[in-house]
Amino acid sequence: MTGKVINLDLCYLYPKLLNIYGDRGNVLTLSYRCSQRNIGLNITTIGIGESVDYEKFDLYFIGGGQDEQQLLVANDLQEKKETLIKAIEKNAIFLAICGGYQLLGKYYKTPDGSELKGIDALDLYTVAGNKRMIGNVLCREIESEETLVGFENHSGKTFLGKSLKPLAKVIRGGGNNGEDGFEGVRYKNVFGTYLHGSLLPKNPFLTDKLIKLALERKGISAPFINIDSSIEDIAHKKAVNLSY
Amino acid sequence: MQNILFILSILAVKTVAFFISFLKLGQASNLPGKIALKIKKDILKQLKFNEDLKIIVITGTNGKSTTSGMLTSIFRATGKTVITNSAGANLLTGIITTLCRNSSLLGKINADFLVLEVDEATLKYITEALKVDLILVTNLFRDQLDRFGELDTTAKLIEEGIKKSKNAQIVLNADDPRVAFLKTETTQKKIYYGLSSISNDENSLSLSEWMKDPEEEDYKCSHREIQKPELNFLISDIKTDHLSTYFNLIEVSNNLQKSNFFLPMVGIFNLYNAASAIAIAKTISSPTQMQIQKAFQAYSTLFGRGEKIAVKNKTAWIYLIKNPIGTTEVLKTLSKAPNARFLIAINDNFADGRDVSWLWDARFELLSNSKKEIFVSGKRAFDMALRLKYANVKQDLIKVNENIKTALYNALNTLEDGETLYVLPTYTVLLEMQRKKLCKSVK
Repeated sequence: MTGKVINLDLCYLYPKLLNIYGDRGNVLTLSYRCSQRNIGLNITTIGIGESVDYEKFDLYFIGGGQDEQQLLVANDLQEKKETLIKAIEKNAIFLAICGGYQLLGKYYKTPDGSELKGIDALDLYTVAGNKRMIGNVLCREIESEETLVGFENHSGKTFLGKSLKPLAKVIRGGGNNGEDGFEGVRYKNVFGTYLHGSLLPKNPFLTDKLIKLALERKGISAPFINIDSSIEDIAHKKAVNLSY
Repeated sequence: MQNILFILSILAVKTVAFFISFLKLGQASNLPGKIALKIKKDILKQLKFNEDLKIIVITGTNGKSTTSGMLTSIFRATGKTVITNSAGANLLTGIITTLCRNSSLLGKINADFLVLEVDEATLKYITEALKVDLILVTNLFRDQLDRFGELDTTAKLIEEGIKKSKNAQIVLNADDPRVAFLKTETTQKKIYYGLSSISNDENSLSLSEWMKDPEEEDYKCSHREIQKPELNFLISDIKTDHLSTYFNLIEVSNNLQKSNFFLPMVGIFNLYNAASAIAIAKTISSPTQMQIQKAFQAYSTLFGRGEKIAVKNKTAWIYLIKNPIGTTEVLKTLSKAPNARFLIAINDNFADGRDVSWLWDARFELLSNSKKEIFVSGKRAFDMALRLKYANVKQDLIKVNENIKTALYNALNTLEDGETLYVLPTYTVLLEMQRKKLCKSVK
């Protein structure tokens, strides 16, 4: 590094409404691992009724919430739909967990048959299942073949359209729908997943991948500094051996 | 035949409980009930209570044990007899065990009060089988989300339970919007307790803040402009230090009578527990201010919520942690205590909540200025270590040992003169500490 200040901008969507499964741990982890590399991560929180400047942000994060909050968010997202799709198509880095992941798709069909509209940025849909998938998940990211660990807790079953690739192959757990053996979605720089735990702290390689992608997209080619991940690695290994 | 099975099931509880205690195999709080349930499915409905016995049920995510303990202590201070599931056994099997151990062989139970802390999902089975006189809902926090899915589900479970006790009085925490607006039946009288909004106490703002999720939209937003209900019991004039809490409780229906109380405990959660115990006691009986005050002093916290313990020749304090809000509250209080040292022990068994995500919502950042080692232990010790690291605690100050016994002794051995060790375990770590006799209570 030549002392030049590097800054990344993260847009944290609906932190007050979508916050039930330790999702802020993901933002905390991105921030920590950036700062260890002298990268400043500016975090802007965006809530209901606030507009998103898609040219400003390198990374986006959206978490999961409960039904009532999810409904409020789903309605508001329709206002942000165009900008978020533009951001995604321009290769912005996007991490969407659980409810946030579902809302990137076409719709979520509730148990009473009504449809909660998503923003249709990704060709996927979700239907309410009658069995909740709850437990410690182990899967393998398809691109890197690295293991991913996390905790899932969802009754929605998500199905990807033919044009989309899943994020990972399930080794233990339910994954997207408990049927096809896959977990999450990967489209351009969008990472959608049901895993929390929080997800990023125990999967440092994924955190670093998101940061690297954001730097690359910005045209910054400084060498990527390896940082101490000893506790992260042990916690990851321990989670690999948990039971569902 | 049915009667024989009934007697047999009661006998089974008594015998199994006796042997478990005799052989020191554990607390005998669930297994006997499990066996009884196998022998006689509707055992609860068959039990016979004396006619003037009043049944009080306490549910909610936090404070069930503490409130039950305080209430029991108040009733006993007025000379009444109370049966309660004080072992923290709040599932169906635990409650059956408690009742059968306190019944005659023919299933007769004799007491003035039955005080039961009941798990949210178990509530409907209890209200269906027993004629409950009063139900308290303490609060609905993000606790064990992986058990019921989410809070809205927990609220529905409680509503189902409330529905089955048509004539019960329902005591509700007015400061928790999720509790205040639970659906009740028109036949049920509702009684609200909460902080006085007219109080100009400096603390009161932060207190009502505590009742909400810090990250959640406020009362108005998430519950669409609904007004806080009118209070029957108002908490006011709160003063706290790091050892005790002083407050007034105003009884609206009794000419706004104001009584002053001193609680030898810390934490806003304990204040709410105390207020709800007083509200119930005053609703269903007529204890004096003196009797209540005596009860608080006599009460030693059940299950380690702020309990002083002796280990070897040293003393430490235990604070049970189990969800982000309660943990943050404990950290806020203890991080201000002088010369504090910490041991945090996290398990992920069913009773702890199998998902440790909540660690990331608790404000462990309150410990980031620590210059002394912080010890971490339990099955998920490395998750906890990681949480501290990302809370900016220096990595070389984080000492990990998954074995609670070793971790506890290591922590005690490094204590310097004048330092106090605070142990923050999740539920099953605490059970393990008790089972292995690592600590004993100091009164």
